[in-house]
Amino acid sequence: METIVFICENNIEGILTGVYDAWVEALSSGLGHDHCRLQTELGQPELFCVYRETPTDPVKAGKVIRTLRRKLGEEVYECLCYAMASHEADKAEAVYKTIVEGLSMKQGFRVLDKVMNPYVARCFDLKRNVGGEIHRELEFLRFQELEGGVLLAKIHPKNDVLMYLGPHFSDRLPLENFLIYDMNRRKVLFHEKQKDWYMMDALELDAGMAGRISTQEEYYQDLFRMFCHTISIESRENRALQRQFLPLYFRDVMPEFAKGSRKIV
Amino acid sequence: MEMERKQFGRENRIGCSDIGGDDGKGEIEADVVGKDLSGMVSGWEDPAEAVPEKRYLPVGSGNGQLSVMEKLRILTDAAKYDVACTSSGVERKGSGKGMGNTKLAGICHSFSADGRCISLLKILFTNYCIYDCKYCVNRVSNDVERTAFTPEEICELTMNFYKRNYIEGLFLSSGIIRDPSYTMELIYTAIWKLRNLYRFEGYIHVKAIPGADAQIVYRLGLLVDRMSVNLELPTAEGLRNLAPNKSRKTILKPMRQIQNGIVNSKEEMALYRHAPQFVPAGQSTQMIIGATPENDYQIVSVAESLYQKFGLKRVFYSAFVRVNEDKTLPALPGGPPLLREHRLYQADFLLRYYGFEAGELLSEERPNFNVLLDPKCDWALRHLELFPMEVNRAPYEMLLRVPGIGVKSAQRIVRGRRLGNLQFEDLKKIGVVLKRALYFICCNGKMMYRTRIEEDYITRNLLDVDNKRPVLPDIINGREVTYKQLSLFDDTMYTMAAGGSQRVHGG
Repeated sequence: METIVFICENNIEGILTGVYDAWVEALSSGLGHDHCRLQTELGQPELFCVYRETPTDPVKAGKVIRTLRRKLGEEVYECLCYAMASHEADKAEAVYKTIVEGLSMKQGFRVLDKVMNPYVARCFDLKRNVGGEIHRELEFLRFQELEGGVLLAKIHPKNDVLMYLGPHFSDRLPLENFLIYDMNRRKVLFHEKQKDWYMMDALELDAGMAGRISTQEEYYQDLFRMFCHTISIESRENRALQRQFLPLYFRDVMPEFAKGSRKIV
Repeated sequence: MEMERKQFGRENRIGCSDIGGDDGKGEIEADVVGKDLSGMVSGWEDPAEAVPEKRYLPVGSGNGQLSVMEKLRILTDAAKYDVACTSSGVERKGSGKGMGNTKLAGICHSFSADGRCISLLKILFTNYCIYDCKYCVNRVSNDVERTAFTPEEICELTMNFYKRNYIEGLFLSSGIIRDPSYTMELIYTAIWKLRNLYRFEGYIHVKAIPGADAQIVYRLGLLVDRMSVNLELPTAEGLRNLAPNKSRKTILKPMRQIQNGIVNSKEEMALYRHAPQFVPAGQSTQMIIGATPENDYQIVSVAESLYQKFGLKRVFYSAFVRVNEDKTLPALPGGPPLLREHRLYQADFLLRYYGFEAGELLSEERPNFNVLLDPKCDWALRHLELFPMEVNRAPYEMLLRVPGIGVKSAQRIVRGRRLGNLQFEDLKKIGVVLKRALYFICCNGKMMYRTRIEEDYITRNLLDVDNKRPVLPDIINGREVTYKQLSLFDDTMYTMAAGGSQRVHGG
């Protein structure tokens, strides 16, 4: 029997629309969920597969979201959202089959405990990976003060975590104007003083604006670099341990690891 | 500045110790002006009387020549031996009118070259100090550069670092200037400004100084998230030897006060939702490991009683770093006893999250931790009668005792097995470290590989870190060979790792 592969857009709305369409197909054609698959990219086409594009439809996605919240609970829904932010190619399929499993259970809110199901286990992995990256961005993201007091942070996360940074930083810095720029996806998160945050696609940051850092900025970067340098105890030095906690991958945007202006006293 | 330093440094060395700074800070009542120390032994309550006031440097004035950069360098360097740099324990949303919030789990913002986390701006208010603790870099008899921040400088640094997401908050400690209450009052001023004028709502951890007025400690407790009093050394005897003028009693007094304050505050919160919160993230303490001859059993027992009797959130252990030359301090040829510190932290977590008791891990007969195995493996190997444990049926409390299964894994196992039988591959997905756990568990009555439940055999396999599968014993002439390879180097490993317990006293 052939498999029908649905190709959906790579975002939460797109994937959930795909779930909706695949579901309809699985039930109406009598194929069952085993013969439906969900992908965000076409990838390498396979034999005995029919490929269908599913255009994103907010109404369908909204229906799925409502069902998930009602039947599986907020917690599971949130985990699924994290999984859908992953950069892994098989995330849509894992999420789709996890939803199938969850809705077939009497206690759907327990679906993520069902580690025996490989899709659920995969979903859990993805969620843990994304959750970990979100936390590391909260730790290692650095703002620079631009002229006029606007704060700018540039990040390059592997997963699409930008929107999960909004609540944290807007609660933390309610009186600041700040923006966080995702260099990999060219998206930017804005927060205006005492207002809600929002996100936008940005092709390129205005280089002129982003280039002008405030007069104080370098001073505080130097202070912090010196602080990090001084706080370490020489007789305990352990670079491997430092690397384990703070991978080199993150260090290029962190002023304490910046080379060049080494003004350590 | 230079002039004042001379006045300070040469004439009397009022100086140093700190309540937070180094490894411990004890504080000997060093009297000032080169008077002999003996008269001060009992005078901790009011050391100020012994000294004319003008000899004390007025904080916040006269330091003008040093740049903030210089001050930060000096006062960070003086604070670096302090261990606790955690920002956990309290979840608080921002009010929308200031800057900052706190996260329950805490956030580490960077890691220094020694692999320790940088979560808070950890600095001393001043490294001037009237005490002369033998192990402390800031002790009065050391000739080090001295300086002090002004409250405004601390506030500016904290706000600007916080805004850039460098830090999670402030960890303020201080050397003792004039007397404990006076110092505490200065800290209070800085924290009050930070909270009320700068409207900082992030995490603040301060050290409570033993001997300070209870009133100030209480007022400060309402402004900060966490307070800690340093235990300095694990036993009262050690304290007497290295910090003769500091007594266990003066240390435990503020600890008890903070504990009571926290309990009362919780009761008030239950009655009035908006009652001010006293030290919402709880209190912690720290002690130096390896400066005095205590064994691990004593240390763990002390920690246990602190958790039980004082309701502490954390006890921190700090491997002794020999910063001063002093004949009473042990020489540490192998560097600070880091492995010992590591074992103590492992045991500490077993006490707090795994339901172990100090008496189960160590005893009078076996007073020190095994250098080769972590305390949990060590315990399991001495209780092989409990294993192998059936993962699909064992109670949660027992799962926690299996090496390779942590709190998260145990919870997931319990939740997962309600929905079906768990297999070894499921355990792997759950996050169980099978490399260690496989000797102690079975799934549906079967162990993962053919293994033997025998102490020597399991020990050998556990120590062979590269091996993920058990090596079965050699069979020679039909009989198993159970000998151990004798190594010339075994002994060196023991000496190096034992650090504190096999200490050589230098002089």
